[in-house]
Amino acid sequence: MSMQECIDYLLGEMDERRRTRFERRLKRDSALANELRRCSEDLASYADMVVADVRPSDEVWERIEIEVDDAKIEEAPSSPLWIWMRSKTVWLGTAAALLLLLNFAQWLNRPSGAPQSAPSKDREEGSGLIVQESLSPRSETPLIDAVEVELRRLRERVNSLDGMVASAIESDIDRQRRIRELQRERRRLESQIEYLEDNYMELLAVAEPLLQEGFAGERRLLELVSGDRAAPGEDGQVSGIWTRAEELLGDRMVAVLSTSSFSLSATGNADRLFRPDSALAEGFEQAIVTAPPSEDIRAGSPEPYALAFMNEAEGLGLVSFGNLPRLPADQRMMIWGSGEDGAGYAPIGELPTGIGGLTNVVMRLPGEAEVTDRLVVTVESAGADLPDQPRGRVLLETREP
Amino acid sequence: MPCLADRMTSRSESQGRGQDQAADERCLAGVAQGSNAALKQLYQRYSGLVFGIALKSLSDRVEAEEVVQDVFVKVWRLAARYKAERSSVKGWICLMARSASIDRLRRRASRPRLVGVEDLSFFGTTEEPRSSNADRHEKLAAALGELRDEHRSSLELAFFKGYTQREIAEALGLPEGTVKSFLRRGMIKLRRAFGQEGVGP
Repeated sequence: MSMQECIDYLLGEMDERRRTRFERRLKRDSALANELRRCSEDLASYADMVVADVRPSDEVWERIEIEVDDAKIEEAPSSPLWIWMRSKTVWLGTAAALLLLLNFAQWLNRPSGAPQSAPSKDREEGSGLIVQESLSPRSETPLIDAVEVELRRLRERVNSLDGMVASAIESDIDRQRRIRELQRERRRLESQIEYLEDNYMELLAVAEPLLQEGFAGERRLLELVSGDRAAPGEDGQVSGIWTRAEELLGDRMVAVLSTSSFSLSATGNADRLFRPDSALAEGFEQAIVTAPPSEDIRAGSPEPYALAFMNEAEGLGLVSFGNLPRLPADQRMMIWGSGEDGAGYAPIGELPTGIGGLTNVVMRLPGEAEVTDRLVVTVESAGADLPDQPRGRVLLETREP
Repeated sequence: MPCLADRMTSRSESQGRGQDQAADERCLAGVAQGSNAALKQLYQRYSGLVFGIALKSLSDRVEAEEVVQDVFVKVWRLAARYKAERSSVKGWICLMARSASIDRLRRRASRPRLVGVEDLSFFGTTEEPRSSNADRHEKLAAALGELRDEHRSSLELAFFKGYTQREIAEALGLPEGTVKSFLRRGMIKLRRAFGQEGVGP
């Protein structure tokens, strides 16, 4: 009979009255509880055997987690002790306990001659009496302990909720989107920097053949100027470089062929590339930008050439040299600068010997602004003191207008 | 009468089940204390079974997944009320899945068509059954196959479709008392089969 009842109970065949009666019996009849357990396990095993081997999608667990976390937040203040604590009775009781404590303290501080057992008038009347009847001194500590425990539990719960709130803020969709945007922007800028740096070298490589042609033929120099001063070149070839330079560097730097001047304006790009990374000393230092080996580019072109980038505002310059000759030990290469007035040159520094190929050299210009108007590279004697003016063979010089 | 090897298998499986139950109870205690990790363990263990029950009842994947969600949220809420003396954790979850599925079936606007015995098969799906041990499954299927068609149909309609005994009687054209008897005999045979093969208690 008990098995049939268990089956009926488990399969929901019982009406409310029968079910209540059955559940009451379960509490006192362990054999019936055992039978119920066996029946439920039989049914579970039956189901386990019969149903297909399937799995819910991964999203189901995510949904459960969200619902459970929401439930945690909703249910936080509804613990039985919390409800109990919010009841008026409890607060009356707590207030009464505090009053009792106060009375007890007063009693301890009573004049020593006063009879210990005699209740004061206050405690015989009003709330004092109620306190004495409803809460004995022994019950104060458990009550206070319970409050302490509950407070501790609630504080822990608050801390846990703080964590959840922090986590929720982190996962806030708008913030996430903003973070993603910033990260994307950063990546874009990094990529732009990388692109500019890489293609800066390409720009040089593109310009070199023309520059070489300029030195070898028309003695032209390639000048890099800021965008607003730039003008298209004189011929199709130069325009091609112009276009390519624009493609490479956008409005940050353009290339223009100058037929008249070696006076160059600095560009933002030059600033960015040269200034922060170059430890400039007196004279020359090799630039951080390393060019490809000259043999690959300059095959069959022994003529030396130079491409200068100047930043007058900062007093910095970069000269890109190609095909510099290797000199014997008793000779050295000097670079000089002069102003428009033609009053003479001032020494800028000594080029490293044996550098060959295409080399970029960063230089700090002398204080006078005019020195950047013309440049000349000469071969001087290594042993002697540096002359005031260039005396040796001119290797390179700014073309006359 | 099972042979010695079978009995040894049965005993070791029985020990395994005891360990499973103990592990389940530990998980459930963790869930009662608010542990998501413990809930996830139970989910990993039983979500397939719950989903299978719901799918067999409802024949709808989306609804079946909703049942899985309902059941495990309920496990979360009711973990503290679980009574080990009345059910194993697996049985508790399983019956919760059945109950949730049948509630949904009943909420559907139109009652599903009553099916006849000829429409029911023991494995009411073309998908592979859950049992991972093919040999064991085969033995059990054979044992369960000893159930008469009416027993199996009654069980299936009652458990998965939530039919009352009266509704089953109507569907099968039998007296209600006979259906009641089918269910009881079906359960006895199941218990015997599970007991011998170590699936049941």
